[in-house]
Amino acid sequence: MLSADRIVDEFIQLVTIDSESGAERQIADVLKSKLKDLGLVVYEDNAGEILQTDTGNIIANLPGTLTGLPTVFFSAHMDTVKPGKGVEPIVTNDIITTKGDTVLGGDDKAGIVAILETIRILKEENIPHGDIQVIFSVWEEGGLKGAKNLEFNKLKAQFGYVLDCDGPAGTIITQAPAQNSIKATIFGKKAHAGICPEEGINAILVASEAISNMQLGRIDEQTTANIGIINGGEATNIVPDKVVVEGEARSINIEKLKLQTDLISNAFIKMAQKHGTKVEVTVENVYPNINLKETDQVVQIALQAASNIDITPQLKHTGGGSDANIYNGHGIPTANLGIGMSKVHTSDEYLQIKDLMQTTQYLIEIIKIIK
Amino acid sequence: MSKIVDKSGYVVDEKKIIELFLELIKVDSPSKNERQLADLVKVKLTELGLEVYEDSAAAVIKGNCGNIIGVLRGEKESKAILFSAHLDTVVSNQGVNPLIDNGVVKTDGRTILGSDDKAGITAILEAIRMVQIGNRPHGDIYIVLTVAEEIGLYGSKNLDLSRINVDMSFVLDSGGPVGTIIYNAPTEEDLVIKLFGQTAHAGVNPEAGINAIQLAGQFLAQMKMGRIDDQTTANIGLIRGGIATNVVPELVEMEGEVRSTNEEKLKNVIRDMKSILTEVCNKNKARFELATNCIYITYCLDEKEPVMQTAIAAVHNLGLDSNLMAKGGGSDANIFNQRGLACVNLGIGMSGDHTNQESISLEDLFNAVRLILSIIENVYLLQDF
Repeated sequence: MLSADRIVDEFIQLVTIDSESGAERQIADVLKSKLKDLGLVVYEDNAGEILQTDTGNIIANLPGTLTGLPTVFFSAHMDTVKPGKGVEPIVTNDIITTKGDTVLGGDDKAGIVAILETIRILKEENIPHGDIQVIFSVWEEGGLKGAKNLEFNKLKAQFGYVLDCDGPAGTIITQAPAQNSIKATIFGKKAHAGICPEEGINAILVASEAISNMQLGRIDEQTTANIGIINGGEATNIVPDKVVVEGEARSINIEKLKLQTDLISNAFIKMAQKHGTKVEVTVENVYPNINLKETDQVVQIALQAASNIDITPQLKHTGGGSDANIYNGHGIPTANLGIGMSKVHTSDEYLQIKDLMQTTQYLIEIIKIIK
Repeated sequence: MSKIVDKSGYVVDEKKIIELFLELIKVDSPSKNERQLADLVKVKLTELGLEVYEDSAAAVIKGNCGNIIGVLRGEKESKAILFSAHLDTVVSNQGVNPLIDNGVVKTDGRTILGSDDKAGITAILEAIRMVQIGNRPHGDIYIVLTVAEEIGLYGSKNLDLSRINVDMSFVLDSGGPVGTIIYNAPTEEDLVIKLFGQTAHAGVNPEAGINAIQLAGQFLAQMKMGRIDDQTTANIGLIRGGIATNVVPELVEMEGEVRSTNEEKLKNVIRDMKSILTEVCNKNKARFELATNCIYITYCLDEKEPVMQTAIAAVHNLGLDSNLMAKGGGSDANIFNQRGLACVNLGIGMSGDHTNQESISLEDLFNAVRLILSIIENVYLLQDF
């Protein structure tokens, strides 16, 4: 039976373990132990060595009680954003919040707890199921670094679900953008600003002309672009000879992403040419897109499960990236599910207990209908 | 004009001048850290027979050193004059490796040289030494070595003038060969501009944000920058803004300056900047703050003023050409003029100042010593002026 007390206790236990990105050792050990106790075969991959932290992704296998079913995986991330140390959770009626300046950690420990409790219920109620894989990833926040460095040869699942989205259970993310990050270094020529500025080329001016006419912000329903950071110059009395500008472009549509990225890069290149100076532009693909169709198996199962337990399914697209982008990029259809986390990345973060319960119920139903 | 005492051209001790210059540039003295150099110079001034004291500027500017003043008493009938140079260099030149190549002193390119302004200090010390050993006649001579000039003329701004009584002042702190006389220098206003937008998640809801970096770009692309006219310059030298690529940036800070020898033009430049900022911000529901800080005020000396006449005559006495110029930079001369001391800035031949290509020709270094001696002599001879 789904017990609110047990779920809440476990959630409180996990959020009070500090696990800011890159420092997941303690929580990983606790989770490995819990997974072993639940009968999973637990493996920690080598992401920790690659990322030079001490913790890898946890990949755990629960053998099925039935054969012949497709293997499914469920994933959540162990790390939280800052400030995440010394979380003091408070439970008031149905809501869990924090005292103090920290986040709560519902992002993403609500997902972790839902997965653990689901497995517990499967066992307690002897619910038949196929092979299930559980992934608890590291360093998701600020770069999806755990998932990017996952040992994918250990991932046998044909499809799966990431539990890392706001919105109530029933929220199903089927579309998410790919993201490029863009860095431009614009050069100029130094000169004494008071005595002979005409001998210099002002790099800040060159960058400004490029940026001032760019199309930024929401480009269309599928596409966004941003210039987020600028830094340049040495002193007020020197014509500045170097500025660094950093930004990003995102789109659910790969062609639009390329177009938007090129527009930004070319603006800098053109302005540098106009002023007779140099520019270096580097573009990095940060994560691939998610573009699932309603007819895909992973989506159909999620829709059916929602209908079975009377929750309203909502197919949505998001503007952000999650581990689901990485899994899809490796060819494993993965949907991201809402778990009710709210006001994430702020000290006002909260979670409703009913959302924890409902997410667990939903996962159990998903597993039940896999054939 | 008056009779010149010695027309032979001021024979200087070239070896001693070079030795002293190299000694001074090897004592590192970045702004607010002039202590070691000041102590060395105090000893030298004292040995030369001057009354030496240090004012209390150190505490005010929060450095480790105050301005050094040395007084050489002379004949009361003669005008009292002041020579000044600054002790600090624009950045540290720790490990400086000076080279003399074809009559030019330079570095190996890894550091600045420090001729700005230790060539000035060298010339002053050597000239005083020659006055003493040659028993050359003179009136009261004040030597003022200032601190923290490079970061905003803070030494001269906080110089204790209570015990200084002079009729004419000469700063030795300009490029251009000896003969260069800076009669005009601008007002400089430094600016800090902050532009405030609105933060938002750049991927999820950028439409709720207002991109301060783009607005700053629109402002900067429209403002007049660089050389505005032959009297006026403007620069934005520093910019920083935003916190992450996935956040619409809410704050951009820019730092710059405007200089002009014409106060009206300077005011117009700043007014134009404010009006462009207002337009950009109003259109985009953003706001800005523009703060100005006057670093120094313009001065313009008429050729007929005694300090100008003296400088010009002294240059001609050496058989050199005088070159009256307006300079685009400020110096302690701006502050001395502002504080009521008629003061001119003299070229001592430094070149490439503030860069690792800084150099000075030995000819200019020697001429700088000669120029000071020539000024002292001219002033002494103009007792009935």
